[in-house]
Formats: sequence, C-alpha cells, structure tokens
Amino acid sequence: MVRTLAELQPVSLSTQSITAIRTGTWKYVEPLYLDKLPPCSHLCPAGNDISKFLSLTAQGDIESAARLIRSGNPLPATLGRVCPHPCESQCNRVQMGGAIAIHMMERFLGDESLGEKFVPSPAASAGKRVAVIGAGPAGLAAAYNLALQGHAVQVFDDKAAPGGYLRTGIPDYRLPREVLDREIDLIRAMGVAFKSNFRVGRDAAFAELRQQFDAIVLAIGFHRNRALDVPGENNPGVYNGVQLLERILSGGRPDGIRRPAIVGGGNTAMDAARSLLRTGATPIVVYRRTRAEMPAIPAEVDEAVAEGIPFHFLTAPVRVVIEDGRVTGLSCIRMTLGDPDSSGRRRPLPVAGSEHVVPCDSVVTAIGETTDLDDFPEELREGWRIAGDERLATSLPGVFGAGDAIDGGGTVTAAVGCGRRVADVVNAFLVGHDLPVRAPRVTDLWRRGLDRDHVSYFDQLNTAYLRPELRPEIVELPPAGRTGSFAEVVQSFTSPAALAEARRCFVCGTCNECHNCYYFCPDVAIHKRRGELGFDIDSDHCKGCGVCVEECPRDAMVLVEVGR
Amino acid sequence: MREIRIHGRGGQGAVIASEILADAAFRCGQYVQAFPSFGSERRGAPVAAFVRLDERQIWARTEIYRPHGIIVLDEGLVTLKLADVTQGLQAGGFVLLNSARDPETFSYLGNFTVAVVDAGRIAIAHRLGSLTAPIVNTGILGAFVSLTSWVTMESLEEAIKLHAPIKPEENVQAAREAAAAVRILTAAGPRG
Amino acid sequence: MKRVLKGNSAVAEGVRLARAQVICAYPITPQTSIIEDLAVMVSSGALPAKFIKVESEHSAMAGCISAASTGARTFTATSSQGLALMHELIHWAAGARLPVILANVNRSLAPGWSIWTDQNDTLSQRDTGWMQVYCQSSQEVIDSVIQAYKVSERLLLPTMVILDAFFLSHTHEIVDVPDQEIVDRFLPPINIPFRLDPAKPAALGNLLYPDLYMEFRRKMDLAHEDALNVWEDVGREWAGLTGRSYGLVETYRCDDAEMVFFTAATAASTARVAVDELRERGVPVGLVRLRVFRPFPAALLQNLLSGRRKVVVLDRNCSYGHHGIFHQELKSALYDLPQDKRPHVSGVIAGLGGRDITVDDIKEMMTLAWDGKLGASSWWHVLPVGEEEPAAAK
Repeated sequence: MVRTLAELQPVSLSTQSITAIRTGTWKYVEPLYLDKLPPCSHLCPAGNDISKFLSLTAQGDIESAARLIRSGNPLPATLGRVCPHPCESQCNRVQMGGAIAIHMMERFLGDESLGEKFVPSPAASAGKRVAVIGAGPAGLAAAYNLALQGHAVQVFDDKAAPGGYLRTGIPDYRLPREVLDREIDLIRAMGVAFKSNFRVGRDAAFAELRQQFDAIVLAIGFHRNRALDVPGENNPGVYNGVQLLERILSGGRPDGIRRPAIVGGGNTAMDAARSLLRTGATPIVVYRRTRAEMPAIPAEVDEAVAEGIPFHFLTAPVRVVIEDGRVTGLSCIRMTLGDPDSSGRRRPLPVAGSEHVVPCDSVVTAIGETTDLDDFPEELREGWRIAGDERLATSLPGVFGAGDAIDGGGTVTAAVGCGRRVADVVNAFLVGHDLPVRAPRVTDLWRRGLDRDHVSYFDQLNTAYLRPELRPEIVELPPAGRTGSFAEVVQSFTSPAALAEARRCFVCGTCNECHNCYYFCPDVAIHKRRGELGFDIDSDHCKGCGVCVEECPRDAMVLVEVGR
Repeated sequence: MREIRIHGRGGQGAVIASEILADAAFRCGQYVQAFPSFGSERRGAPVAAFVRLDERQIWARTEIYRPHGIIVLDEGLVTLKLADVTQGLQAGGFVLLNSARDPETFSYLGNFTVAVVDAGRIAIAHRLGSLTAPIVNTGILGAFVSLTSWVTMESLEEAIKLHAPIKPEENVQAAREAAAAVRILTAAGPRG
Repeated sequence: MKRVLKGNSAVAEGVRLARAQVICAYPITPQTSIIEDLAVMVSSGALPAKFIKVESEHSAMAGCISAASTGARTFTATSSQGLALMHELIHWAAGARLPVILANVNRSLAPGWSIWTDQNDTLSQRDTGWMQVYCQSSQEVIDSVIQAYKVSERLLLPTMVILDAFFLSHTHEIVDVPDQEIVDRFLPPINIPFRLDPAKPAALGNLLYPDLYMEFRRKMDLAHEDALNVWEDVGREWAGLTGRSYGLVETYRCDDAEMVFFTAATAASTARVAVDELRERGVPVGLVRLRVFRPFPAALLQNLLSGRRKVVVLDRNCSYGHHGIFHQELKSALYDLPQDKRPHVSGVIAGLGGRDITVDDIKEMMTLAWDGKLGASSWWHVLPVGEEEPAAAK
C-alpha cells in the first residue's frame, strides 16, 4: 500500500497479474468445445470422418488423412469414384463457392494409400472365426472391420473374383479394375481369406457353415434381375441387364446387339447403356417417368446424355415386338405422372391410345434387382430381404445380415456403412458382450466424442471469417473421344489440387485450432494445450461473456448455463 | 437525507432499481439522486448503485459513504464474500437481501435490521428473466417499500411501469408479492 | 414537465428541443449514452435529424463543420481522448465561425488509463476560440444546450457545454424539461449568413495572406467580448420564459463573505453544503461558481472579489508547471485591482481522475485557507510528499 508520493514510480506500471481477479465468479453461462457433426459426415452413408480427413490433408499430412479414412472404410479409392456423394449436397461451402469436391478427395486419399504400407494391423487374435457370404462392398467392409478387431475372417463368393457388383456391375470407365483389385489386395494382405466360385447350397450347406464358424454375415446383395412382366420377355434378344453387364465387363462382346433399347432409369440401366455404347452399339433408354425421378446417380445420367444416348421418358414397355423370332421393336405406351407413390416419386399412369413401337434389335431389362435367398433357410427370408432386426441380427443365433440384402440401401456407400456397422455388432456377439439395442449409427464408429445431435449448418457459422472460394473444375475425358473405350472418364486430382481443395473446407463444427477464441477472450481465460490438440477454458477466470462462441467461425463451441 | 446502496451483479438490474426507486420517491414529492458505481459495468461482475432521498434540494454531488440502508440483489455477493455489503452502513440501518434463507442466517452481518425476501422465486414465478438469471430488482423494491415506507407502493408501481422494459404488469405483481413476503429481523428481534 | 433524468439524457433532450438537424458523433465512455439517446430519437422520428456515424472523433467534427457550412444546426459529443483527437478541427470550426455545439463529458486523459472526471480535456482546448460552459446539474445541462445554440448562432462562435463524468453524466435527478413551444419561441430556426451554396460558388477556408489573417482573428476575439453580454442577455430571456436564471457566474452567500471559494461544475454544488456548514461555525465564507469560462468574465470577477480578504480556488485540473488553470486565470484577472483591494488568492488541485471531492474535503480546504495555511501556489490534495505536512504553506 502506497502511503506517500515518494514511494511511487514516475509512471503507473501494473505489475500484478490480473489472475488475482476471479472473474469466473461472475458467470451465468460458460463456453464448451464440442465436436459437432458437419453436414457432410452427417450425410455420409459410409461413416467417413470427412472434415477430419480434409483437415489433415490441408495440413499436408496425406498419410494420416489416408490412414484415418481407411480406419473403417476399406474402399475409399472405389467409393470416391462410384458414390453419388450425398455429403456434397449440404456442404456449407455450397453458398460460398461451391461444395467441397469430397468424392474427389476421398478418391485421391484412396489412391494415395493403395501401397503395402497401408495394410492395417489387426488387433490381437480373439480366436473366433467368421464367415462372410458375399464379397461385395458390404461383405468387404464387414470382413475388413472384423479382421481389424482380431477375428479370423473367411469370405465366400460365387463369382470368379471378389468385389461383387463392383466387379460385375460397374464399368471400368467409372471404376478401373486395377483400383478395385488393389483395394481388395489390402484386405487380403491383412489376413482375410477369400474363397471364390463358392455358392452356398451348391458347394456347402448353410448348416455346415454355421457349424464351422462362430458367426456368419450374409452380404449377398441384389443380383436377381427383376422381370419386366410383358409378353415376349423370354424371347432371345431380350437380355437380363445384370447378366449382360457382367458379361461385357468380363470382356465378353455380345453379338447381334446393334440397336438395343434399355428399359429402366437406375444405375444398371445407365451402366448397361454406356457400356453397350462402348462396344459399338447405339443404345436408347426407355424410362416410364421423367429425368427428375430417375434413381441413377445424376452425374451418370449427365455423362450418358453427354455421350449422345437418347432417352425416351414417360414411356413404358407393354410388349416386345417379335418378327421371325427376332426382336424388331418395343411396343410402348406413353405415361403421365399422377400422385406420389410410396417412394415419394409421382406414380406413372398410362395414357390411353398412346401405344407406339420404338424400333430396336434387342431389349435390355434394367428396372431393378432383388435378393436371391433361395439357398438359405426359410426363417432368414422376409419378402425380398433378409429377415433381421435393428441390430442387423437374424433369428438364427450368430447369423447377421449386411448391405442391400437386409436394408436395401441401394448404393455401394450404404453397403460399406452397413458392413462397418454389422462388424461392431458381430464383434460384440463374439466377445460375449450383450448385443446393442440397435446397430450403431455410422458416425458413432469414429469414437471421438462427437455431439451427434448437433449438426453445424451454414447459419451457425460465423461467415465474417470465411471467404468465398470457387470449387475447382473436375476434369473429364471429352465425350467425343471416350466412348470408343472403357478408359476412366473422370480424372484424378493432382496433389496440389487436392491440398488446395482440402484447404477450402470450413471444418464445420470441430475445432481446427484457428485460435479465434484464444485471440478474442478478453479475460485470457483460454489456453492452448501444450503438445496436444485443442484449448482449455480456465473456469476461474472465464466470466461467460460468450465472445469466443460468437467469434468461432465454425460452430465448434456452445454456451451452457451454469448453476450458481 | 436518506442514502441507500444497492449491490448486485451486472445484468441483474441494480442500476435500474436505483432509477425506479428514485422515480418513485420523486412521485412522492421528494428530491432524488440515483447513480451507479462509477466505472465500467460488465455482466455478472459485482456492481453497486446508489440513491439519495431528501425533502430538500440535494446539493451534495459526491459518492455515498455512510448509507442508511443496503439492498442486496444477489446473496452470493455475501456468501461468496464478493462484496463488503455492510461497509459504512450506519448503526440501526437495514440490510435487505434477496434470499430464500431465514433472516437469522445473516445476523452475523452485524447489529442491523436484516430483511429477506425470496425475490428470485417470485421473479421466476412471473417469468422475469431466466431460470439462472431471474430479474429480481422490481420484487425487492416491493419488499423495500414494506420494510421502510420511504416511498408509497402506488408511486413504486407507477415507476416500475415507466421503467420496466418489458412485462410491466408482471413486475408490479412481483413487487406486490415481495412486499407481502418480506421477513424482517430487527436488531431487537423478528418483526413482520 | 418534470422528469428524473441523468445528465447525459438531459443533453440529448436539449438537443432534441433545439431541433438539431445534423448529429455526427463517435462513442466514448462516459459520453456514449448521449448519442445512444439521440440515435433512438432520430430512428423513432422524435428528432427529425440526420445522424451520421463516423469512424473517429476527428471525422465527427469534420462532419459537423461540413454540415454547419451548409447552414445546418449541428451537434456532437465526446470526452477526453476523443476531444483531443478532434483538436485540429476544433480550431477549424471556430476559425470558420461555425456555431457547432459540442457536449463534452469531462474525463481524464491517459495515461494512466482513466474514464473518470477532470477538466483537463476541455481546458486543453482553451485557446481554440470556442466558448465553454461548465454545468453543475442536469437542469443546467438541458438549459445550457438550448441557450448555447442561441448564443452561438448569434455570435457565430461554437460552444462546448461541459459536464462532469459520472457525478453529472450518470446521475439521475429531477429535471424540468421545457415545452417544445417555449423552446421554439426562444430559439428561432438557424440562419447562418454565409453558407455553401452551389448557386454562389466560393471557397471556404481559402489561403489568407499575412495582410488579413490577423484582422479575421481580431473579429473572433471581438465576438468573444460581445459574448459576455450575450450570455447574460440570453440568460435573462430564458429566465423570463422558464423562471430559471443563469449568468456567467453564480454566487452563493457572498454578500458579507470575507473569503470566497471559487470553483466550477459539480464541485461547486457540493461546496454549497460546505459553505453552509462553515457559516454555522462562523466562518464568513461565500461561493462563486464559474459557469462561462470562455469568454472569461474578468471584469465581473474583479467587481465581485474586490476587497475580499481571501479567495481559494479549487481546480479539478492542472496546467503542469503553473497552478490549476482557474487559479492562474483568476489571479491574472485580479492583478488589475488596486493593491489594497486585491484578495490573497490560494489554490487547491483536487479530484483529478475522478477522485471524489467530498463536503469534508472542501471544508478542509476552506479551513486551511481561512487559517492562512495555504500558500500562493496550488496545493495538491494528494498523498503526502515524504514526511512533509499535508498543508505545507510556502
């Protein structure tokens, strides 16, 4: 305590720390860092931790980013090519330069991690054996995640090579075989055994498999082509789309298909039409609704249109026209759209008297696929699907389902997500834990304490700190030159392009250490953690002003009320 | 002259309480001054506000050092020892606290009249402020009127209606309820 | 109508009643609520004026100068560092003879950082050509703002209406807010004889050679001489309309006072209580409150103080190196008195940086002066210097 002027310095110098003032006693509310869900990850059916792998890429740590993405998803190079990327639809970048090209980033990281060094190390063996029936995306994801958890996994498949629909249904110009092979090689290299040309019922009874293995995952997918149910369908010259595609993709070149009419609006229809185009045919597409209702990936439709394939919309086949035992046309009726049906799409209704013949020399049916459960016990069947509950478990102990055959997810990405989820359930079964009430949500699989009830949408961001930056152009082979071969149409990002694109990510909902909170805290109550990610809030001095939360660009903080 | 000091936290309405009290006294024909503790005010920080009441014109323009009464909007200031609420309080003066406790709890404050009213509960019942930060200033002024009779209830109600930024009727109701609910422990023993 | 208002609100009400047309200001503690109130009035339509937001006080004054140059009635408000930043244009407004009205809430200058009151901010603008009025109550604030427009527009000189931070700016008290009709009768619409007019192009503030600069400055000084009468006239006119009278100075119990306590602003209000208490003890003390500091009412003060034994000046300010500023100014004015009529003048510097000046403090100052313990230099009412006595006379 100063008592005389003589005791004072000429200037006022504050030498006491302000920490003596416990401003923390003033607060009604206090800030909290939350890992919230970005809209991209919220929408990712495969459960990719998107903003995190983008964040690592932006820091130049491509290896960690690739390891992160491969930590539960064995097929990023594949998914980056074939996924319809719903993640990009609500990317908060949409309003500020265009969505992050997330699928291109997944593809880039997938391609960067196809080498041996990325073979994951499984956990110590738990001594349990699992059979996975079906080597499609769901089966591969289930096998991969079960192997990671230390289980011995044997995958059975009735085709010559694993991959399922990825191999038999998706053309090389979308997914080069080499990419698929190398991703499967990684799974093999970590110890998963594959048995091809093996069909349950033919090569072994289902009951035998149940005796040999501690658990079974049925991931048999949709491989049975749905029938058109019109006269003339069984005539030669009418092809099953799934089988035709499989034949073409395995190198076969069917004779006599010069001017095929492809019936359907899904991915099989697009893949069949574009593949036939590449074999020298001149395909047309017949679809009973309009472009807007087509279930195919929009980009695939765009590319088919760009490649010059004509579409007959609002047109439904009623009869295959046969002359002299040969297909000469498809008799169709015009449709109009009525009220929405159970799928939410408007129901097509025939227009009376509008019958006409679309000339063609062959017909390819591609109106959808369903499950083939003929060789499995009755209690596993429920209509088109495997009878299972919310845990993906069937009524047979130790038998689980995954992929289209149980949830009808309809995309490769959903199948991978389902494979990841079922692996968690099967693991719980194998190690003797109680089964969960339901299979985990895909985003639960990250195990990093995210607030899953809170998705950080655009209006929660502080755009004062975020600048518009344009989405890069994605380079494709020009339509004129590409239809003569099965060369991949979409070109990969270069490394610099991928880094630049990763840096456009806002990292919504998660702290990326931008330090805004630290800079703005008026009470110096936010401290950077030494040697690890994140910040700590000094509760003794945080007075709950909320400036940090207000100034956080990416909605990674919240204010919570505190009791007094 | 009567001098009153009001203790609260920034955001609780201590300054508005001083203005309402001054306005109520003005409506009773008194000369008044009301002023905040001079300085910057921040939400949640301990703050004080002051009121002078007199029958004659007030010329002194100084701070208040020897108040006749103290109003405390937040008992945490006392229990957490964030403010010396009885500093300078004249012998025989009063301390009126917003608290759900018995007035006896605070007899350690000294040889003063201690009065309590659960203005927080009353404010919450009338949805004044939030659950964690109820606005208690109008309620406690009702208790002040019944404790001191230094202003009339009618003038207080008029002043509340003029100054309350929202919910004037609810604030008036809170003042009336608090006036009835105040519990008083005089230096000689309980009253009211 | 009588209302309970704080000093800052009284400023805003005065500006509203004066029908200011352009308000251009930048916020600073403790002035902020003045322009907040005005912003509300402008946005609600209660005051049909243009409110111009700017990025600094320098620009605020530039805005007022520009608007006044077109003939508009203007207002700004500031404090301390803000007034200091305006300084260049403070000169300009006076030199351009623009009747800008500025309310300054007295706040100390940094360092050390302070938001509390003293008068060095406005007194540093002493020689700019502005008139300065120091107020002691919210009532005087509202009345002075209205009067300032009338005086300024008649003389073409700008005026600072000045009030103490917190002791006045933030203190609520009873104010009789005049009726608009009375103010309109008192204050006609502004009519500046020269103004920017595209029809008659002219350059304002053009180059002025040594053969004429001084003549214009002499006219400004003459306007200040006139102002002494104008403030008195306008004060009387206002008293006729409202019953409230203000002059250049205010006296209290001076008729038979042998010693006069001389100060300004809120300290003068508190000093009344001290005068009353010392009078009860038999000390023949009176009070003179300086209201208008520029122009300085030297002749009036000579008449008032001629023949008194003692004058003690309380300064809430300091001209470092030479006394408190009111102390120097008063002493210089009284030097013209015959030697036998000259009172002994002593000074006290107190209350800087917002330190409270209590009734007891003022009684102590008066008692020391009466007992002859204050010297000719200003005595600082601070911590003792080493072992020296607090009231060491020199």
